[in-house]
Amino acid sequence: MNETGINNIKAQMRKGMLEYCILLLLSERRAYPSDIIGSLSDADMIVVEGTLYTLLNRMRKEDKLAYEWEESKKGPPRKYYHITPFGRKVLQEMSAAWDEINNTVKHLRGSEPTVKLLENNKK
Amino acid sequence: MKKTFNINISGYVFTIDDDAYDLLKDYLDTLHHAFASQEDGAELIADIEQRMAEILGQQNDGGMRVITIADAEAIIARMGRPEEIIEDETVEWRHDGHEGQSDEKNGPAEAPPYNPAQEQTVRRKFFRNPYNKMLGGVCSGLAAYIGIDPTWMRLIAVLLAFASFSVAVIIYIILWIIVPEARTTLDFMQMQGKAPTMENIGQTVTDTFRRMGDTFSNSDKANRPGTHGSADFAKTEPRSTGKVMADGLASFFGFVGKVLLIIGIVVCTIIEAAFGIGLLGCIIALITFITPYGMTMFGDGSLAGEHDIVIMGLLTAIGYILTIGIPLFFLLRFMLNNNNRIPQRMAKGWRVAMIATWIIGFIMAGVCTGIIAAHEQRGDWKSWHHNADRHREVIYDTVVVEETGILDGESESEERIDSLKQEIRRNRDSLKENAKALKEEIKKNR
Repeated sequence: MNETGINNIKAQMRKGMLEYCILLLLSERRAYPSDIIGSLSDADMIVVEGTLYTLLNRMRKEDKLAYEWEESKKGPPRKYYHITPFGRKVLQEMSAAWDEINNTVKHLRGSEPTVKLLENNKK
Repeated sequence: MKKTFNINISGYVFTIDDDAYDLLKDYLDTLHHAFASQEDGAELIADIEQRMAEILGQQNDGGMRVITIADAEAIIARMGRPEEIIEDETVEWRHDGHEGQSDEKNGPAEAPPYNPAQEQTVRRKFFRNPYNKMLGGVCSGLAAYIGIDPTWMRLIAVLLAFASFSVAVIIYIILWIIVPEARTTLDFMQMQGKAPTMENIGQTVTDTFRRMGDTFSNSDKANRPGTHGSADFAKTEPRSTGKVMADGLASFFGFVGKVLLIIGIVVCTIIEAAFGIGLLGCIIALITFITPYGMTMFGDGSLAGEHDIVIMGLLTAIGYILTIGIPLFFLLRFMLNNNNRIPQRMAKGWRVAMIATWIIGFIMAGVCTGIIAAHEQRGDWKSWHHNADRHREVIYDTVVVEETGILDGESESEERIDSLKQEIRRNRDSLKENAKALKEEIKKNR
C-alpha cells in the first residue's frame, strides 16, 4: 500500500474518533472553537480546522451540542459550545463502544483478555 | 517590491500582498459557493473566517508583518485540505449515483468508501477557458468537457471549418457568444469535472492563481510588479506535451496568424451572410412567382408597388448591414477586450437582443431581396399579365351574357346574344394571337 493509502486510513480513523473526542472534551468544560482546536492539538489529535467547524455545526443540528455567544476582551464575540443531555447520553454509548474496540485491538495484539472473558468477568 | 492592501477579516485589520489577497479571496468565494445552498452556510463561513483571522493574528506578531502568498497557501492548507470539510450534507456534489443509495439507508449516515476514481464522475459543465485560448477559449473548454487535449480539439475545429464550408466558423462564433466563460474557481472545477471538495478547491484555487500569474506576467508585466513571484512559480510547473505543442503553435502563427484568422472570419462572415440572404431571397422570389398566394402577398399586392421598391431597397440595405455588422461588432469588441487582462462580458440581455436583431436583419434582407428580384422579373411579364387580366374579363363577360341570356331570354333577342358571342370569340382569338406575339417577342429579347 502506498503512502497516500496509509495516510488515508489514518485520516479515516481520526475522522471517526473526532466526534467522540469533542464530546469528551466538552463533557468537562465548555469551550469555543479555537479553544477546542488548541486542546485537540495538545492531545496530539491533528485536525484540519475547516472540518471541525462543519462537524460542530452538524453536532449542534443533531442536538448533541449547543452554544451561546459570549463577549471576548480580545476580539469579536465567541461561540462557547457546551454538551447537551442528549450529547452526554451519546457520549456514554460511544465510550462503551470505544472500550469494546480497545479490547478487541488489545486482544488481537495478544496482550489482553478476550472480550468474552471480559464479559464473563462483568457477570 | 509588491503592492499591498489593507483588508478586514472578521473585524481584524491585516496588511496583505496583492497576490495573497487574490488567492485568499478566491478561496473564501469558493467556500461561499460551496456552502451557499446550506441553511447556515453563511454562519459557517463566518466562523471559518474568524478562525483564519485568529491564526493570521497570532502569526502577525507586532502587527507590521505583511501576509504573503506563502502565508495564504499555508492557511488554506491548514483550514481545509481534505474533502471532509464539505461533509455528507453536500453529497450530491461528489457522486452522481450515491444519493439514491443513502436514501434507502435512512439518511446519509454511511459515507461512501474513499475512492479517488469516483471523485471524477461529477457531471462536467461546458465553459470557455480564458486561461488556455487562441480566440475565445471555446475549443479548450469543449476539450475539457469531452476530456481530450485542447490541441486536438483545435485541429478538429480547423478541419471542420474547411470541411463544412465555414459553417463551423459560424457555430464557433455562436458558441463564443452563448457559452459563459469560466470565472470562479467553482466554474473551473465544473469545467474539468472535479468535485468541489475542499482538497480540490484548494488545489484549483492555487492552480488558477498560478495560471493567472503566468498570464499577467506575459501580457502586463510593467503594470503589475506584484506578480513576479507567482510568474516564477508558473515556470517551474510541468508542461504537458499538448501544452508545449499549443504554445509552439501559438508562437508559430503569432500575431500574423491571428490577423489572418480575423480577416478570414470577416470575409467568411460577409460571404456567409450574402450567401444566406441570397438563398432566402431566391426562395421568396420563387414563392412569389409560382404560387398565386405569393403573388398577392409579395407581387401584385401593395407591398411591392413601384414606389415601395425604394423602401424595399432601403430595408435590404439595413438588413445586410445588421447581418454583417453584428458579427463584426462582436469581433471588434473581442479584439479590444483581448488587451485587458480580465475579459469583459456583455450583459445577457444585450447578447440576446443582438442575436435577435441579427436574425431579424437576416430575414428582412432575404425577404426584401426576394421581393425586389420578383418585381424586376415581373417587369418582363407585366404586359402578359395585363393581357391575361383582359382575357379573364372577357370570359367573365361571356358567362354573364350567357347567363343573363338564359335568365332573361325574352328581353334579349337570340340574334343579339349570338352577335355578342361572336364578338367575344373574335376578341378571344385576337387576344390569343396577341399573347403569342408577345411571348415570341420576349423570347427574342432574351
